[in-house]
Amino acid sequence: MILLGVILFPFLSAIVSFFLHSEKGSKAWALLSVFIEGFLVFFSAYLYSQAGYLSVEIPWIQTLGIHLHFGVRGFELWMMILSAVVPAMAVVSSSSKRANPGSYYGLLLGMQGALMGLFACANLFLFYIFWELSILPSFFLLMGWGGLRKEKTAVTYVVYSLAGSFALLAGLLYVFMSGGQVSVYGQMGVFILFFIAVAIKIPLWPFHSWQPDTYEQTDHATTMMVAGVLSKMGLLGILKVMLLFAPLGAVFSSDKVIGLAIVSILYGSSLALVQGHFKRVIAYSSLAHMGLMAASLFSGTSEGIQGSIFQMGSHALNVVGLIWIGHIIYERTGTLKLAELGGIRSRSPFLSAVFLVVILGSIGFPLTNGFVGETLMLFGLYSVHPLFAILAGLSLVLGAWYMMRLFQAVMLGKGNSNLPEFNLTWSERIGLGVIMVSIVGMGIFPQPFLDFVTPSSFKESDSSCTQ
Amino acid sequence: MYSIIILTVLGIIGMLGDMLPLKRLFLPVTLLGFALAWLGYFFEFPMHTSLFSFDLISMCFGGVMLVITGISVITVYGYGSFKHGSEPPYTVLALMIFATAGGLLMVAWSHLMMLFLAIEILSIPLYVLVGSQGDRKASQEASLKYFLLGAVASCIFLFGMALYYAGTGSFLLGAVHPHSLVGSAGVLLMIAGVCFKAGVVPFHSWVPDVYEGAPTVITGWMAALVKVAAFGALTKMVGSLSYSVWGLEVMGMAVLTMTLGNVLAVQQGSLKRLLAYSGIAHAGYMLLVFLPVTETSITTVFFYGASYALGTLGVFTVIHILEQSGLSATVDALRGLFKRNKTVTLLWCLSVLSLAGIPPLPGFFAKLLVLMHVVKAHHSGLLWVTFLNFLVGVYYYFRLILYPFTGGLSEESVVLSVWQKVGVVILLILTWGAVLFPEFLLSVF
Amino acid sequence: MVTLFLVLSLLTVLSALCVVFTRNLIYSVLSLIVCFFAIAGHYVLLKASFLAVIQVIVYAGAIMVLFLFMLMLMNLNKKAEASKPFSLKVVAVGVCLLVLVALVSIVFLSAPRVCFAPLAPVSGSVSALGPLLFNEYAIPFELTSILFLSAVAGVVMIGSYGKKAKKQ
Repeated sequence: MILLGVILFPFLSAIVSFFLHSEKGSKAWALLSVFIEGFLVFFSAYLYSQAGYLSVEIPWIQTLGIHLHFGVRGFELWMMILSAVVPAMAVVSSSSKRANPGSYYGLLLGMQGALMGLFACANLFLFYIFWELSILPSFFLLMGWGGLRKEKTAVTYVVYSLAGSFALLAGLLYVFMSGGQVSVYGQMGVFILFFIAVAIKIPLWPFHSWQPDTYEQTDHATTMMVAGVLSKMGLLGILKVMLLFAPLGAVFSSDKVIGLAIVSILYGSSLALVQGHFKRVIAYSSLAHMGLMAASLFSGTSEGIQGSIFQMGSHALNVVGLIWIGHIIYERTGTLKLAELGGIRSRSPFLSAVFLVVILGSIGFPLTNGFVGETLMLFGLYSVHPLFAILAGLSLVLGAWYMMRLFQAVMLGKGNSNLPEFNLTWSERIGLGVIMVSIVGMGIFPQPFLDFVTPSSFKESDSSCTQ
Repeated sequence: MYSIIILTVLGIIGMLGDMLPLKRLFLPVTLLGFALAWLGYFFEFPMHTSLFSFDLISMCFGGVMLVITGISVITVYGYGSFKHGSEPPYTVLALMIFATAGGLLMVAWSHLMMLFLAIEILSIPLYVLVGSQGDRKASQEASLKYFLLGAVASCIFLFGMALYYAGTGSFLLGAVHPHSLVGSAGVLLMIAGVCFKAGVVPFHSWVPDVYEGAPTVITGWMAALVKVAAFGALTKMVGSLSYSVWGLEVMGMAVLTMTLGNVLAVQQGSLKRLLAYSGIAHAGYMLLVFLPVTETSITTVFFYGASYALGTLGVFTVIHILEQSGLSATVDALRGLFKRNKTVTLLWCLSVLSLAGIPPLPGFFAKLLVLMHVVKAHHSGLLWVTFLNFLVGVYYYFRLILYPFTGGLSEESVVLSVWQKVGVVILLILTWGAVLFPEFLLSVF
Repeated sequence: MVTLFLVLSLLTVLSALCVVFTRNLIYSVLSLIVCFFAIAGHYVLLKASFLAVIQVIVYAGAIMVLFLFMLMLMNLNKKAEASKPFSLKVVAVGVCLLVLVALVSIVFLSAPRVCFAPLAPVSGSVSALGPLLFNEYAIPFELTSILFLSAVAGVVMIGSYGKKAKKQ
């Protein structure tokens, strides 16, 4: 039952939030809501550690044999923790004045609910529903509070997302038609359809072109959600749906998929080198990181999969940290163009230190969280083919290069002489501090987190998924 | 029978509305009457005579029609008293109630003559109501066009009835299976007559003009009511006729209808025309349910009809509210709606998303049921055509979702009358109810 | 009998064609009257004397008079007729011919020929129709009153709009 609470609570508090009008009141409500939600998720994590598996099943549409069936295994719980933490960061980091704050936080909470449902669901039907449901709030957040080019970006985003979900629906229908027992050729077809859906969501090259614009145009809290959690939906789709319903397809085409993922690693890394906008650098670096995670999921080795799941968490943490820092800078200086930034280190050494730690985390420096994940993933890829590991390993080098370039452009140099004061608020200090500590903490003591996400936890197939 | 009698009495009260005392009681009495009319089904259920059969189909479809008219009566009443500051348009309300009586009869016949009569009782008030904005030329033109084409459709239906009688010697559909060519021709002509009402290609040419010309409150009500009534009648017709007679023709019509409707809807600039074409496309999806008729067909067509009605009513209520605030019903009029009224925007988004078939809104379940029906019938070609059509539909519906959040033409907030607010809230509640408890509608058959 | 039927049929079809093809509206209304009378003749042949009388009184009588009044009041003449594009005419004629061919061929091809029960001698008389109308078909008969009621309400409504416009 706690699972149902975890999923329904954000929706309910979202409804309340739509009726709030004042900036302070709605933020307070959103804060309360994300903390209660976080408590609920950690409580269910405790219950999970006692029982080993959480599930709840309630009949919903009996005529169609559709149940509200939720079940949580280790990696799903890991993703739920992620989608409890990231919205909390998004709410805490929101300080600027917005139009219609109540609706804004409502949509944010609604997105959280959809993500919780997606991660916890235990049948295909619910998976599809929550998949679609997560598109709507992000679309409205982009449309309502986006930047200047929001219309065009929103259209691109929605066309991509809906194309993906229609591919997903087609695949689900095919699985439904064949009653769960899909033939070999059928599995190839289903695999391709599902792959289109997840490749758009992750995103992988050549389905990525919605991503940089979306990152750039969305409000920072929305970007946190999109980069931190929404992109992980695709990876979860691979684990939860693709490998389960089209295992033969995965066996036959894993090389090609890994190839595509490596193309997006190299493509993303090299384009990140030449971007002139803070958020676009993050977007392309995300493209590269997500490519690496997708590739190692398809390596089929336990190290690769474990590393990938671990990295989902650490990437979320790092990218949220980067976006938060970007937001702080944007609030003070009013720009995120790299050419107009510089010299911030002298104004705020604390920010500069946090920035450095986050960067080290995201380039996989030893003793940070990125190191653990990337090493495991490269191990996994190496055992498939050494060439894959070498090509993917290039991303570390390129990553170090573009991240250092970013650091230099933002923090070092002479920069603008009339920079304002960077007086960080207490919530910003605490939030960034937490991020910094957990990046290092996860790097030094990765074992508890790795236990949490052992690959054995998802090998058992869930027969109820075919319903 | 009770329901028809009650509605007739209500209609007469409405006709005399201007001169009756206690005018305040009109709306509550009408709504109470609708509730009683629906309860009336339970007293005589099931009733089968040579002329009528009040069965589960008539009860469920009739219930949906009563809800549609009930909501529309509330908004029309609110609009009337809001705009003129005086009398609500009692005659309009009376005609709406009469047409609903026709709609109820369209799903409660067993004799073909009753079906014909029911179609006429539904149609005649519609012709008048479409032209009820006498000061607008488009309204008059639409009324005349609808009347002329509708008369031809009635003739076609009557001709089909005559041929059917000639072929089988009976006016009862289930009585004799028409294996004669004459009887088959009669069946096809009758289906054509009903398909005209439903707005199925190639009998669709009236739909865009009439939707655009009619007063917007009437358009929404009419679009919902006629579609539910026509598909209820079709359900009763095709269930008792052998598939080989009409199967191929209906399949062709279904494919043409959804494709043409969707393709033409993409490039419309007028909201009402766009929704008219999308309504045509929805008629195509609903036709798919009869290929072939199985035990899930009735459930599917019923749920689809109900969800379409809900979405359409919501959409047209919002368009009406927009027009009331001084804008013309173009797609651009939606711009800035979010800043002007949030509740109305919420209703708009939910309705459009439901029509587009985005989960978990009722329209999604409706489309899923249709897809599952096509899957079970093993028409793989048809499945892909349907699928592509859904995709096109989603594309143009999302354009409609986009606009309320962009910069607007007008900044002043939208004001609603009390009864309009009530209508909006009821629509919102019904939509959420259908999301949470779709089982309620799905398990009746 | 058969000769009479053929003559009447020829008259019906010819006068109906006249309705469509004559340019002058008065002529076409007059040929419509001929058409209605011919149809009444058919009813007599089918021993439906009551229907024949009704046909003459209601259609050939009342409705045609209404038509004539309308024509005279609205003063429609040749110039008012909108010309339609030639292509539309071709398509319309083509479609109509197709439907005609289909229906005629169905009548001739249908395997079990249409066979009608021999008519009872009194089936079309008033004494036979009356009980039928007020016993078995009493409900549809009453339901037509809803139809007329709504038609009346509609006419009043449309009429009153004109009045309102004049007042303003």
